[in-house]
Amino acid sequence: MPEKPKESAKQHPKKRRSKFDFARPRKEIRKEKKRMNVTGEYILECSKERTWRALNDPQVLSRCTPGFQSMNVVAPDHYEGVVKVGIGSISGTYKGEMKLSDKVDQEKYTIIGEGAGPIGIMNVTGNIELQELDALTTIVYSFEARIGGAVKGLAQRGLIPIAKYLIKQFFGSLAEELAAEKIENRSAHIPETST
Amino acid sequence: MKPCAFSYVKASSLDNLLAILSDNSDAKILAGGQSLVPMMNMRLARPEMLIDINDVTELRFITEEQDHIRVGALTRYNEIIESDLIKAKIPLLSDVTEYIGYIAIRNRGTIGGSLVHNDPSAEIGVALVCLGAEVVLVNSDAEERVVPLDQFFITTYLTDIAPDEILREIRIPIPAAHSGHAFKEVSRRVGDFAMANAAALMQVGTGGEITSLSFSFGGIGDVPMQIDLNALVDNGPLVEEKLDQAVTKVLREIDPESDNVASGDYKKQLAGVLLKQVVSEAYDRATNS
Repeated sequence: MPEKPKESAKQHPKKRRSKFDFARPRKEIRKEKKRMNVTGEYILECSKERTWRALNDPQVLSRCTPGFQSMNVVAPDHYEGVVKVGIGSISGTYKGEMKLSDKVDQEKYTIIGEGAGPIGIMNVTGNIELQELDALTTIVYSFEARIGGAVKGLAQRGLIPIAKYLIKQFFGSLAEELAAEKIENRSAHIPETST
Repeated sequence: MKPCAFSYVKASSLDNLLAILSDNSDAKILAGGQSLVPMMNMRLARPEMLIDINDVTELRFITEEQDHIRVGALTRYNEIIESDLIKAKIPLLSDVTEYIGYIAIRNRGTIGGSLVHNDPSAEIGVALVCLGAEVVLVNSDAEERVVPLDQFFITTYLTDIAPDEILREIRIPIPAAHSGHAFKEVSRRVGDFAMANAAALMQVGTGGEITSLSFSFGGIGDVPMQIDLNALVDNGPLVEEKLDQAVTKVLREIDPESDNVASGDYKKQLAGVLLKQVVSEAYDRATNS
């Protein structure tokens, strides 16, 4: 636990030391963000190449995002958007932006995002990696989130399962999207790209 | 802290409630208010409208019907504890309800409110999953939907209830006579959020063998977890060795997340201890009844 900054002691040399002097300033504690890690994987019945294409298509991403409201493309791989998320009695509209970087074609990318809503703010860094095995693609994800605001208290209690649930919903919609696309392709007699 | 501004409507009957709900799907239902109001005060929940259902007496009952007991969603914990019917037919439920919060919470908190809120370590959900209860939901078109409780819970704070639906009642099958039950929980202080809790219900045959066994954990997963202990059923009298084997098997399958009350590793350890204690206690009661 860091001690009280020395500067403030200099500023008020005559001020009596309260018993809280050795505690960290409350302001600092309030501003501190809570860290949360979520990792997991999701298996899609689809080639790596098509999964990669879907994960880079802003239209697909927006259709799969739970509670998606609107999005606008600021620059390639840089999006701004609004989502409405409701978990039980906690619901709100969140504004945020997202950047995709460190892309390695059909292998992996990094997501850097931030969002703000009525009950808190969040910064997210995530890695997405694709692995292909017998026509199945495994998406391995790991996210680190830093959370601030009122929702911070909840971060310790139940936010991880909720985050996992939302991620699962996203990949579930992605799987449906890819399955629908496959049927469309077949009916149009477009041969599937094999890898 | 104080809540954000909201509008308030008091429903007078179930029909009135469903009508208000169909016009305001963003509204939140206020029953006992023991979870919702603190969340509103912390400004985590910011509903635009509250529908008070405390006058809807149709939702407040405990009745027996053939092989099950129906409990209205607005039944308060204290009414469950004091109910002679529940004490006689489903003693597990009255025992568990005494572990919930403090007297003040039990005076106001309702069984339906707790189930819909779905806190991962709420005692009532653990007991009802163990008992194999079902929930009855009704929507504004008066359509009924019966959902087994273990499918009703989706994840922490999320349940399979639509915005225009209300939880009307809980149906709890009456356990066979001479069943043994047990419930235990570990929390820092009485009334705190539990680190982990566990409930068991079993029947024992004349030879001392377990003929049926139902077991559930709370606080270990994101929702109350039903645990398969079939290895112990129809397998001769319960001895320590068999129980230890079952514990080892269960501990391999669970992976609790850390939260603000306990770390994941500690919860895993607690799960093993609770499983052993709860199953042995239920066995003793079943054999001595």
